[in-house]
Amino acid sequence: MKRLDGNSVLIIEGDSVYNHKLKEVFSLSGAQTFSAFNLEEAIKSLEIYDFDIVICSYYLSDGLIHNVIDWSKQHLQSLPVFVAIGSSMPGDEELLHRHLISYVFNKGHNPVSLVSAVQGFLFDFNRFFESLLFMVEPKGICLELVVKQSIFEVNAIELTNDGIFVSMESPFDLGTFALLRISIYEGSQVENYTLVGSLGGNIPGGQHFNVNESYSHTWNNVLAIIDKKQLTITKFMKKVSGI
Amino acid sequence: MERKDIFKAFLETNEVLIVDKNPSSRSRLLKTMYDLGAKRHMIHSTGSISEAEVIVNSKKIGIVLSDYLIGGGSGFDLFKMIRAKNTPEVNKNLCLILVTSNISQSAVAKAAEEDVDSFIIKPYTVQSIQENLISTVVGKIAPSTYIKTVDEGKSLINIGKYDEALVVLKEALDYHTKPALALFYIGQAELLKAQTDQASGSYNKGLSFNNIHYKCLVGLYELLMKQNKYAEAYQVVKKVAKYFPANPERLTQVIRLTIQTENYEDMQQYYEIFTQLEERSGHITNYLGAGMFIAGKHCLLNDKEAMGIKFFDNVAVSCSEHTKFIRAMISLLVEQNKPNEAMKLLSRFPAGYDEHEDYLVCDFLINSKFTSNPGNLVKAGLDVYNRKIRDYQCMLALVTAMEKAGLMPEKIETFKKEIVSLWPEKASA
Repeated sequence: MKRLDGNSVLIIEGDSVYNHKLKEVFSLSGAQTFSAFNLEEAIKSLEIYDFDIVICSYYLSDGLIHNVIDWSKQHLQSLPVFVAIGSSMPGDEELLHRHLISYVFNKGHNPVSLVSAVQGFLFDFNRFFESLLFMVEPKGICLELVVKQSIFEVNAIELTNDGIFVSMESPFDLGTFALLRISIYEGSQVENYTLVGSLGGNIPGGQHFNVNESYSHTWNNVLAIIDKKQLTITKFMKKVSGI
Repeated sequence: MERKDIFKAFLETNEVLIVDKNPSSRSRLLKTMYDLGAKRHMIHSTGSISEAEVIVNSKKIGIVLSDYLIGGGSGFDLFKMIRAKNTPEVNKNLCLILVTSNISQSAVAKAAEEDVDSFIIKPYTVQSIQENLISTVVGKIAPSTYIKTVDEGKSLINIGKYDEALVVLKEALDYHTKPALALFYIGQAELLKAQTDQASGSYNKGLSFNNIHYKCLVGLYELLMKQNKYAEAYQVVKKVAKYFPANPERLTQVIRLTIQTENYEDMQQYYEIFTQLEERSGHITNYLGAGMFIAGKHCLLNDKEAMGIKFFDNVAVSCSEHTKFIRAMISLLVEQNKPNEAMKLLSRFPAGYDEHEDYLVCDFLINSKFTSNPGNLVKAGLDVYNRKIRDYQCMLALVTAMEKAGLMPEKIETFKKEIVSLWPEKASA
């Protein structure tokens, strides 16, 4: 089974047997897993904990997955990734992405396969620790783009008001739903950000990633951190040269 | 003339070179430079040092934007190559800018150390790159009176007119509130006039204005080393290593001085610098291993066991390809009757070393502490011996096991004689 160590998951599912099953599977994968059985309970958990991913049934006894997402958009500074439990037609994909649902998991499938499916949306802490163990510490700003369940390591190029230009060998169609994971390493510390959005215009060998407006708070945090780092570096360079 | 106009005028007469392995990154930078006013035919881009060299040879390059890692080396290698090709006059106005997503402390420090004019984080915003470029270019083309005067003093030093240089540089002191750079060149001129005490005073004064002024720190360190003032030199180079950790050659000097001045406990700090180095050669790994081993040994023998064991762990993790260190650590731990700690280190031998002399010696030494049956130990010891491996501690452990197993004294005597003949000093101690 794929490992999700270091990540936190909220499962919102009214069927207590299925909820328990999912919780068991996710706990076994190493993720910190919490359960809620309806919208009210889910909100209580969301108010207290900072989740990396929320796996939620389409239909809850007191609402829909959209209510969870809308509440999160209004009340949370940093949004988790949302995955729906249910079934969807291929034609629904665009609609789902527009509602910030990154993936739909069919209840009829083996719950273990859900762990593999969402792994691409989450930060791989194990890989990070392995890197530390072998002392090949990643440096600087690292980006990963998740498109259609595939992970692409991309290079950051230029920041724009609504996103970022990244280098990418195989560009996708305009508007394709995507997730961007940003890790900013400094010494032994790392800051991770996950942003939901879509792919914008192509440039030779690259693409623009448009950040979804709902994630603008997280995006602004990223911009502020890069700005601050630039300022510190420029100051240091000036001080060292004594000019 | 406004800063923006100075920048535009610069772009009209100087060509731009963009070096980045990534084509999309190159094309965005090209667009940015074009938007800032550079003419398309005056912007050149490539992904490697060798192609960049061809461009540099045929064009009048005024700005170079390079990534950290490029084809055939690093941005620093590229900058060095360009500087070496140019005359000092051309270099004076040349703007060398690093545009990279590698924002590690060592990358930034190396950029500062290598006199890179600006460090731009990738991803950048068009606005930030514009501000940075204008500030860099204007600083070069229209320098302040202070920089102009320091440059004049520097030129006088270069042609051997030290007294005139000192007059000019002392004048520069009035043009800056923290004139560390001027004081560095004053120190240089004094040093060239063999006035070492004055030079030391000038470097120190520069550092009192700016405690991380790179040139003053290195100037002072080199002077103190020349004067054999190791303890003072160590204090200076400790600071250099802290703020400018990227230089492996300097790290070897720091490690040597740490041991020489018996500042063993500082080794942890240098180990952390080592782990952050972008490139680690066998030479620096060997240096670090030796330094950490000596420091660890010192701690272990002076009731600082936890720190000593930590140092040994570091060596075992980062220098495992030098198995001599693992052997030395295990030998010491066994000698100090710490077989459990020694056992942990045994697992650090690289794969495929089961038949290597260092591994066989360590394995036997650890066994000598755990095996209760002396007969088995004699068998294992003789196996090592018959492979023509001669190790002082192993031989001693073998002799002890032979005695316990009740072997004939004449047979044991042969081994004892060999110990005396191979290690007379140790045997008589």
